[in-house]
Amino acid sequence: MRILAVDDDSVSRSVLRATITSLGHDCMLATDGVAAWEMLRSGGFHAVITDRMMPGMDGLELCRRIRAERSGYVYVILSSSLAEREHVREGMLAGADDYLSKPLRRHELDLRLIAAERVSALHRQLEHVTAELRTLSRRDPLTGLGNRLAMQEELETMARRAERYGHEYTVALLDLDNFKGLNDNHGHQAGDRALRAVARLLAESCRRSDTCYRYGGEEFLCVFPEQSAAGAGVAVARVQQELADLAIANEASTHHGLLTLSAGIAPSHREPGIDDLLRRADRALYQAKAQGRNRIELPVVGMGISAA
Amino acid sequence: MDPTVLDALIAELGDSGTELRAELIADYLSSAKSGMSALASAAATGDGQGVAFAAHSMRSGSATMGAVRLAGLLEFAERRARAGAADLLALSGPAVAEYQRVSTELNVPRPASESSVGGWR
Repeated sequence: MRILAVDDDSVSRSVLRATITSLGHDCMLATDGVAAWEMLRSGGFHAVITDRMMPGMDGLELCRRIRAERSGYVYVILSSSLAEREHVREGMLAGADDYLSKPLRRHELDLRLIAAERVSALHRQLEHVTAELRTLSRRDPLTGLGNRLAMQEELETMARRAERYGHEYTVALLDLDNFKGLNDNHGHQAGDRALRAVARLLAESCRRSDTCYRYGGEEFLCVFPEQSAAGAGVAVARVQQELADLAIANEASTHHGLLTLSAGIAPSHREPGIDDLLRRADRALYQAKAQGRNRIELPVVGMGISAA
Repeated sequence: MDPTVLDALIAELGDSGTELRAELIADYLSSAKSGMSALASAAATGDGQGVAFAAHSMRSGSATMGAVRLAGLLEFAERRARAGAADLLALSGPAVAEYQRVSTELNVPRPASESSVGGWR
């Protein structure tokens, strides 16, 4: 383990360093709580052994700060010659995991570091699994794109930026035309392959700052930060063309028997309401469908682009 | 002074002895010197908190070095000062005097035969 030992007394620091090193761990030293906090902020420590009474920031304050402000778990052992019961309890309530009486005994520290190593490993495992779950819970397993939850979070962020800083953005709601026919004629596995192909096109065609999500079923939503409706229309038209190049057979399509997509576009226009924005995109998509599919409908009436 | 305390610590750490022992003694003498000055001046100005803090900060180092009596005097001074004792000079005086003895003893080279892991210096 990488351990930070904090003590204002130089003898205690030397003993700690020699003991920790003799137990096979890496040891860094800090002379008070403020210096320790600065070192901890750079990360990389599994455990902290801190004296309780120190000038400036004492061990209790350091414990509280570690628990309140650090995201990754650091195992904390509070050491002090004040080993009376109330001090032990005070230290544990402040956030310490264990308590060590001074003068330090190698055997006692060894036992405590065995527990520290085990608990630290569990916390690292928990952090890893939590991060994994967070990622998985925001990803559509079929296409690998973000799902509705991820989309909602990004739209809320965009809406806040639009409201506060006037950063506008545009969304495009895309729907694969006559997709049910493709599923019926070629089976759901073919449908899944088509969804994955379109997701790949979206991921490859959009700018790095743009994000695309699987909105549900055969619908996708693309978010274009700092992009006009016309600019977003060009990006979606490119995807339409690339989809046409893939020539995915769909006998239910009226466009050369190939899979196509329609899109409705809506710009934010400093409009903070996400529901309203999605409603406008949905309305535009409906118009694109009503006007023959394989179209991109922009918000201004009569500005629809047909890819046919 | 109980020299076996430091001997045991050095032996426990598996160190060859001389280097760590010399380092600890140098660290202790340096920090305790300023700590004793802080203790004496806090007592002279009637600063009970200062007496308690200075006594506390030297206590574990003294115990580590085997200065058992000094550690006891410092613990007593700390406890009494925290409890609001008015006789601060009476608390600090014995500790300062005992430190003089301890520092003299630690500065004296120790015959190798007295320790299984090497002399004092």
